[in-house]
Amino acid sequence: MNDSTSTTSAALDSLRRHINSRLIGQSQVVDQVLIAMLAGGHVLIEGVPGLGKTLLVQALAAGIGGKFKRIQFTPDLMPGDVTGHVMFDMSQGKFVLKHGPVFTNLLLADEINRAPAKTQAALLEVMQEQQVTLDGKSMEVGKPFMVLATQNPIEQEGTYALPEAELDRFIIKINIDYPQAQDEVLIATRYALQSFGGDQGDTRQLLDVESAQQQCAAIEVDDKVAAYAVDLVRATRGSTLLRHGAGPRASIALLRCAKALALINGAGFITPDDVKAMVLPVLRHRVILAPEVEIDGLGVDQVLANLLEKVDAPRS
Amino acid sequence: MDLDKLQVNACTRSGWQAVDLGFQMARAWFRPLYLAGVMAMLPLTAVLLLLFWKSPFWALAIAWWLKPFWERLPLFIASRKLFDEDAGVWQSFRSFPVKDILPWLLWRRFSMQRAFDNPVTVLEELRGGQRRQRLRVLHGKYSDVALGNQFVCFCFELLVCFGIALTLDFFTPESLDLKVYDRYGDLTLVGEWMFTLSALLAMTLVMPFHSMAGFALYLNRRIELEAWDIEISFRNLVQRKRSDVTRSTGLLASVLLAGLVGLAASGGAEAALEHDRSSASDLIAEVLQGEDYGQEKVVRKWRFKDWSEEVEEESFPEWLIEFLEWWEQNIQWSTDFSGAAFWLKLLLVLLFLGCAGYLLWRYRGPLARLGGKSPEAAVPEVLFGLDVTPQSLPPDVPAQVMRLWGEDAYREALGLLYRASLSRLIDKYELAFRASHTEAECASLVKARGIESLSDYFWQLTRVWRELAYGHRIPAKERVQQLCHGWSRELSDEPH
Repeated sequence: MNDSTSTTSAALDSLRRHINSRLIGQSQVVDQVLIAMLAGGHVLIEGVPGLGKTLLVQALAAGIGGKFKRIQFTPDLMPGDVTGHVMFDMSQGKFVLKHGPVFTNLLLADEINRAPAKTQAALLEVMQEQQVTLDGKSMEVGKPFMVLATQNPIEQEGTYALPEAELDRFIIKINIDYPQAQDEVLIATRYALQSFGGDQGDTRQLLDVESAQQQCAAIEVDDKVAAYAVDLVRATRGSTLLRHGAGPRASIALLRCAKALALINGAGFITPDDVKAMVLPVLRHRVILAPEVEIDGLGVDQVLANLLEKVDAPRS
Repeated sequence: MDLDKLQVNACTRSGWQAVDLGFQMARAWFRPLYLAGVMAMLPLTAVLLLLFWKSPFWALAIAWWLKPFWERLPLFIASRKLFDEDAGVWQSFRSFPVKDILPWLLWRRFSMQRAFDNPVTVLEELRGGQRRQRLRVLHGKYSDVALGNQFVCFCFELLVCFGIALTLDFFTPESLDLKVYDRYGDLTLVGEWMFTLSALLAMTLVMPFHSMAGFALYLNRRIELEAWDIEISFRNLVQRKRSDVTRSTGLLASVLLAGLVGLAASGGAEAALEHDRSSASDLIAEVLQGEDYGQEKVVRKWRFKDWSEEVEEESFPEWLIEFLEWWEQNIQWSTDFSGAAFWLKLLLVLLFLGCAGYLLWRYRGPLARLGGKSPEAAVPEVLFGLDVTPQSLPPDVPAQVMRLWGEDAYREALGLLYRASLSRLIDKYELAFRASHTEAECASLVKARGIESLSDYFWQLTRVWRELAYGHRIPAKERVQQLCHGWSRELSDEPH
């Protein structure tokens, strides 16, 4: 471990502690969001409302010294409401540009599946290109730029499911669940007398994200570990338990996330354990279960765990 | 059974026409049949629902299983109504037909012609061989229609059940927030109750139609077999004759009042009727001996095969009977083992051994696990692409590792140490490593073994090995020496 890696790892640790001190009982979610951020990807979070997703993004924005905006997706939300638009200003007698909420560092796209496909596509284009074209001009969004989109697993009436090709744009999908009982007691006692997000806590910038992302990219990858990651992704394509396997983008995402995990752990290289640890969050939204498996009541995570058992880990 | 009082038109119908008649009967006697059905079901179902109030599907499953029991009372009432008997529900309830119920709730529960066969048990009260014989005759025709009736009623019941459940779900105001489904789309307790009550209601609604259709098929078959229609026609003929006689007598009496001619006519009719009765048997015998009867003519023609005729309940296969007959006739039985008994015994023993062999082969996996070691726990020879047998290791592993290290073969040296450790862990501690296990997972398995010093050592080795294998970082020689000492201490067979 060289000095810069250990410095970044320490900064990441303090950022992690800062977020965990505000978002109680979701340390795994915090780690995965940090991994996605270091890997330069976007996150899809699935969970019921009220689990602190906004608080997580607020705390993260504060920790990296970035801006934070939020869009509540609704069926009548238009693409212009996301990216911005050009309008005629009567007082000035000319067209003026109104930037949309995507011009930020961290964007919380709440309940993304409530908006129609056109609006979703506008956001997904920004996620891919990291720029917006308005009035014929291309404008870059903030750096770093990260979208944290949420989906509600219940109340599916009146929603527009994200197509598989668009889901692939999210580097990981996180399933956020209720906190443990003792954590919930702590949350209840702490926030009983104050509003959520009222206490901003430590607002110092704890991490230089761009520098950390560069270090993450420089993490060493052995050929055998890379082959292992590809083998894991390819195993999803040949499985009879899955109707649709993951594509090559998944292999890239898997290695990038494994690198981020290695950086968080303070290592300068990735191991098969790092790859294996990231399989579920990276692949769970990129595969589709076979109908008979769904009927049997098996979930994606169970099927992927089963596949993990069938792929030999590298050793020599 | 008084055929004169039969409430339906006794004529031969096709199978599906008979089913139609059954549905008509169910509609006509709607009130008593449903009342009987509900009275039969309600008490026990209510108790079941109370017992299983936390998982009402169990109550539903038991109620569904008891269907042959519930169907008896409506059938009993319909049989009385058919002959215009006043079958009060209470009265019928007191004489609830429960005979021979156990087989209907056990092996006959899955009979696909239940409604068709039920009258033989409930109304005719036949059992054993008599019942089988009766059913064989009845099943000569309409068994396919009975099967269709069962299937149609089953589909209809499902349709009604889901219809009721969905109607309840759709029309429940959102403000009530009943939460029929949980967040994973599974039914909640409220949902289970809603579905159970819908299913019970659907069962109650469809049951009389199903029973009556089967009963009508049974009636139709009996009308055909026993010629009820002809008997009723004859009875009507006799009735008409009698009424003709009565009418003639009345007419003649009135004529007598007026004159003398009708008396002779009336007396003639009575005499003719008496003559018919006395000479009927002679006349029938004479007709049977006539040209139109007593002749045999063989006619051959093609016709469709009636598969139902071949289905005989609980009968031995024809080939087995023929084989046994042949055996009896051709094989000399003797008291010693040199004769047929010996060969038969040998055949049975071979058959038994064959079956036992097949079962052992078929369930070799579970049996191996029963024996102590699971297939996974069996000592592997190659793991992770490495030869992990003790024979593949050099006699002095630490010395060989340091020799390789001295030759700058760092990867080979640490690879040997790691492989030797795995081999010893498998051999000495019987750890069940799998090819899919990563280094950290192997280390976790070692930790789970509960030997702290061994676990610490293996973690250190794993860390150094990973740094070299994946991080391409060469450890200091002293570190490798420490690991070699550790290997001798923790994993070597030799005393230290």
